[in-house]
Amino acid sequence: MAGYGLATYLTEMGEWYFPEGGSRDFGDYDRIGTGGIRDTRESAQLMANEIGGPVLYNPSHGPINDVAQSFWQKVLFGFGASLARQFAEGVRQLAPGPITVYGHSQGAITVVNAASYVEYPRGSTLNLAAPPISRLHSGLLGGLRGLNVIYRQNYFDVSALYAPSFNPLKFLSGLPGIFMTPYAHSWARAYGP
Amino acid sequence: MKHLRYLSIVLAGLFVHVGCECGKKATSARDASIPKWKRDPYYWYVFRDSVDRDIQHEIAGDKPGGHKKDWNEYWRWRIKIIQETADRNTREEYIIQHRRQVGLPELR
Repeated sequence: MAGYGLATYLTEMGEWYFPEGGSRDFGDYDRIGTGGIRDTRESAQLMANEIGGPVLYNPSHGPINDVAQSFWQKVLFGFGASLARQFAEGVRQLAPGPITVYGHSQGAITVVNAASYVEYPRGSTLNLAAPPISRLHSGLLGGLRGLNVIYRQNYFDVSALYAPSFNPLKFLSGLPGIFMTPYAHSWARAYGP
Repeated sequence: MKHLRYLSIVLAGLFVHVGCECGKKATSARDASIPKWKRDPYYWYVFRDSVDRDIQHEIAGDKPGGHKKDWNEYWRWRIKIIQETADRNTREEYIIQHRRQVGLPELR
């Protein structure tokens, strides 16, 4: 499982989805996004329509293998990560100026790791929902690069176990969050603080 | 002991709630291919966030995205591509009302 996760971490490429009826040129957009585990082509297309910008579809290999892939994304900080490189390439081609980046769950790790391959324009916003990456990590990135980081990790979201915060209560709330997943994971990303 | 009993009731309640959520009928054939948990809450959030940002861009006089020639065409396009979402009417109203609140011209 871990080996498979490492293999997909190093080699897997996603597919870009653009809003239906919109330009297929990255330069016509100032926003970009990517989804998390259990992503589907349909959900990537829907997300592209909702944000009005390109979305990188992250192919799913089942929840366990997806989590294994995200494990390597976390511990290797994106070094050699194929998805992060591909996402960075999309970011590089966006319209000049500050951009908005949407990442949910595993997608939030991809967004943060992509910063190793591309410099997000100063003043850009990273909108991280239900992130399995710590506030400290994403906050440092934002502080060092002059980015606005919206970090939405709520109580009872299982990602609180994967990305412990300084709040022990939030961490513990991730335990019942295991039983509420995936519903709580979705709910948390929508109604965060 | 009392606390454990309380916790187990809460957890049982959550299971039931999750079960109820998963059992709801999908609203369209397209939506049915996307798990319920991935559909409404997050997409509704990112939709509102992107619309709010677009309204700020429109107020600032920036060029619309998607290679659209003006903001009217842009908003008509945004409304068109959300027609297959479960809450399309709510979304459309969100765009119309929020633009109206800041005094932007009505869509043609």
